[in-house]
Amino acid sequence: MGATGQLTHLLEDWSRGDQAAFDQLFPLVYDELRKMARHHMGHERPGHTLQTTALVHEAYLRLVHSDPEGIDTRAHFFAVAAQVMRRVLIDYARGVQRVKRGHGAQKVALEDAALLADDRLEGLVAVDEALTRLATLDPRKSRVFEMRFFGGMSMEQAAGVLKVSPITIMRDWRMAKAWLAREIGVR
Amino acid sequence: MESKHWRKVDDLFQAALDCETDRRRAFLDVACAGDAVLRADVESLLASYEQAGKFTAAPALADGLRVLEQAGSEFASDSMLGRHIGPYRIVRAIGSGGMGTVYLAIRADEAFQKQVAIKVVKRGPDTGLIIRRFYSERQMLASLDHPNITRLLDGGTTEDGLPYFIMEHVEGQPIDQYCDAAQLDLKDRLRLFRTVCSAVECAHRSLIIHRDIKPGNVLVTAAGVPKLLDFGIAKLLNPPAEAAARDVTAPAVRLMTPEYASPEQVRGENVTTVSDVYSLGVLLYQLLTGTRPYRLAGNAPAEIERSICDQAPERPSVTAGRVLGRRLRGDLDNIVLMALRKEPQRRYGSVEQFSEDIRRHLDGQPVAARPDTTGYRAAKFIQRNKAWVATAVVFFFTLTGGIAITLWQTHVVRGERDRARLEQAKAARINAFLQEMVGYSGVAGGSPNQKSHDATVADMLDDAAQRVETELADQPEVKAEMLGTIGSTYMTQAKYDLARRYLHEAHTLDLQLYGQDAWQTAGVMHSLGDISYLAGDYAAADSWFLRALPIFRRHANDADFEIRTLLATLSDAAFVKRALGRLDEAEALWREVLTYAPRLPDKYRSQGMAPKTFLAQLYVDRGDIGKADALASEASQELREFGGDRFSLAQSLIDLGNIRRLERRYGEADLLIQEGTDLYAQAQGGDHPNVAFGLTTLAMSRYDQGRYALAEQDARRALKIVEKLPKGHYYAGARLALGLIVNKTGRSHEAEPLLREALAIRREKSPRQSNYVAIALGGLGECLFTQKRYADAEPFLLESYQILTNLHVPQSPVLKEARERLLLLYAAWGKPSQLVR
Repeated sequence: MGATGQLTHLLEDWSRGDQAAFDQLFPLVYDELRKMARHHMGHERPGHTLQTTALVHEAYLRLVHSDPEGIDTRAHFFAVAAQVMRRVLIDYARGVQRVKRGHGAQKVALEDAALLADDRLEGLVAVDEALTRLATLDPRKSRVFEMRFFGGMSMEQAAGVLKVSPITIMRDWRMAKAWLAREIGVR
Repeated sequence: MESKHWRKVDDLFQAALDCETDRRRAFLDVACAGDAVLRADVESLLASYEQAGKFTAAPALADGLRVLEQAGSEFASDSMLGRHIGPYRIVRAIGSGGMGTVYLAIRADEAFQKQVAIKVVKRGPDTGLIIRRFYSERQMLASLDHPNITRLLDGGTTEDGLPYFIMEHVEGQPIDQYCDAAQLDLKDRLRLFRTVCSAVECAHRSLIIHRDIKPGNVLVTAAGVPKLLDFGIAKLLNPPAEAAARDVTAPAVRLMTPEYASPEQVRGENVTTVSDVYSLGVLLYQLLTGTRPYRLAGNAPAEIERSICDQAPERPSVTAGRVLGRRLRGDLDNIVLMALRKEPQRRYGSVEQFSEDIRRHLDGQPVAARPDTTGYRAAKFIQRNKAWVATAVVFFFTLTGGIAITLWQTHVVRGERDRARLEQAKAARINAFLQEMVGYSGVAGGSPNQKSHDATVADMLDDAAQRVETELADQPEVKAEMLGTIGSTYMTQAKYDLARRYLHEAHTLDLQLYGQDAWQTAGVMHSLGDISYLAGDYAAADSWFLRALPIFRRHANDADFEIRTLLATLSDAAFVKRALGRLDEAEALWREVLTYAPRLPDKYRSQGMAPKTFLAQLYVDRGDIGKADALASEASQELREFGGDRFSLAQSLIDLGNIRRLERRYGEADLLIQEGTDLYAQAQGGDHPNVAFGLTTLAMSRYDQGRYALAEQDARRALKIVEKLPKGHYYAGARLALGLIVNKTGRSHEAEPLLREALAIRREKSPRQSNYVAIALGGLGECLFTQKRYADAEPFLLESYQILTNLHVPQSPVLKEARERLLLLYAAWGKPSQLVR
């Protein structure tokens, strides 16, 4: 079984409710994302975020294209990807912060910090923490936000994964956005 | 969880949003109906909602991708920056790959700053497996001590549970870049490459295969010293084929770098030391030509596999362009392409041979590598002559595995002796003759058909033998050497009559040339002793060794290799004594070997220590398990510490495991046997008879523990391997084990033929008064007893017991078991015991 085949199978297992499949999916999806990032981000300039998102979506599509039940599987791929991205960003942001707080000996890693603006990094960490709190208050809203924000998923895709109507997703998204913005004090 | 309040807030918030903006206030006046807290909550959310767009308009997806692409591309990596691992503090990422990220770290708590490299493995489904494998191998990896190998200092798991390895940090350039930057000429490149080979050889002697040799793993320091990174790491990260087969969820991704991987690696087959020869071949190709031998067609596994397994590499001289190409044409083409052969068995048999061939080229001597077109049989022959003598002997004839070790060492020693003893000119003439001979393609009536290549090799040997007669008549010293080589090669092919004939001719010539007390003469006498032993003529073997030994003893004052030759001869002589049942004399000879051991340089220490293993076996033969354990533990510990030769270590682990089994320390037994078997499999491939020997021993341990299903699996795997071989000791051992297991699980009729065959082979191959025969007799007796055929069982059990009584010390557990078996028989049968109580 090829890597793609395995991915599809695991995604199917997960979409059928097998939670163990998720643990195996995480590294695989991570690898796929990294490959895509290598392919598509090489010549990208900061600011062209919309174009990037489109490219990634296109790559996702190719990845699970041959699958007859592709729509559902694809959505689940996005859902994992969203969690991977959240983790990648937060780990990155925390790493940068740690280095900055470090004892001054190693400034070496700081050039990486230019990758994302400081306030963006702070914002991401704040969103992550608030999102974790939201999960205890209203888990589904937390997931909807994660899928949309970290995974770039459409309302329809999120609806496919969570098996609710797109209208519900839309309402969850609005509330999550508002609640998070209030929590982290966006002005 | 969702509180009532939360749901109410949510509903109102949604409804308010759905209202036209100017109607919201009115809506909330009605809906909140004086509940100020509720109203404030909803209003603040509505206000925040207007602002939220600022943050969410740019999806974090794009940021994440940028981080993945640019920031060292490991999600783990950035989270590691600034962290502490043990006494080290992570400073920055210095590289990343499929398996994880490497960081530079410094030791922060000391006055001086020590830098190390720390490889943190990324999370994956087999993370736990990596950690377990690391702990089982760390001692061996840490023992790798070579100036051109970066040391593995420690390892463990981070607080997040990710495995990490701490290694010596090397500042350097990848070897390909270094060669270009330093503008090394061809000869310097070859010399540098040979240094790399010497490091790989060192690791191979400790049974560590690199598996991922590539420029990025060979750094050259500013001082021009090459350093190999990541030795043994690839194995920790790639589960052995067997484990992967069990765990179907393991990612199909193999973590090596495909451009440098051998066909067997790409196919997921057994990886051996010869796989490193291949990767070194790709590296050399690149150093000589500036490009790799082939382009990969694409990224898909199937395409990579096709490129590596089917695409024939272009000759380096063609790739390199006209000017440089002229210097590569011929020898270097042949050398590189020989290392790059698709079939592992057609490559150089070891890194040492590969490197040696480059040395010959550098010194202007003829090289062993031949062009592939005419060279199939030639290469085959060279390998049989050189590599075979070194390794194939191990394959076919092994009494206990021990004889294989000494035979192997003897031949290695002999090769060195040849080089040192014959003056250069004579060596060159022999070499030239060999090459001419093997390059000779006009074998009468034989077409170069791969299927009948063994017959062809035999034809060539015969042909070579004839030509020695006619063409070397005027060079008797060379002729004597060649006759000896031909004889030894016949020996490896189990053609004992021919082997004996040529060895006798060599012996006769030696007597004329050097007299009967000469070193040269003794060398052939040793071979004659070996051949007699292998052919089962122990008396003749004994007399050959009796004559050879005093000569070797006299010369033992000279140099290393002469002491080592003596030790190999003593050890082989001891095996003969053991086969004759003269255990005391065997013991004395092995004890003599031990007295010489301290005189050997560290590099050869293991040879001096191997007899401890053999002596331990001898004590097992006598049932003296306590003594056996003491010696075997000592032996395996020393072999581990000295990073000694791999066969000895593997063998000693299995032997020690077997002893622990007899002591009923099954947990330790299983681990030791498993480790030894893995070592054999790693070095020689999973279907090597030595692996079968290990599996059989494991099966016996599990049998003793009553774990019959497992035992049967192991025994059947062993049998599958040895079934392809001539029916010898390993075959008999596997049949015996399976017979015992099958008998215990209610299939005694199926067991009987297995046990009868095992006994027949052992009766033929071993002296009557031996442990081997006694145990086979006991097995068959027990099977007949299970079938309640008491009268049939009695003679077997009695004979077994009688042999053991003569052979074993009174406290022997094996003897005790044989006695109990017999008593049980008489009790079940209702016949008065024949045993003297």
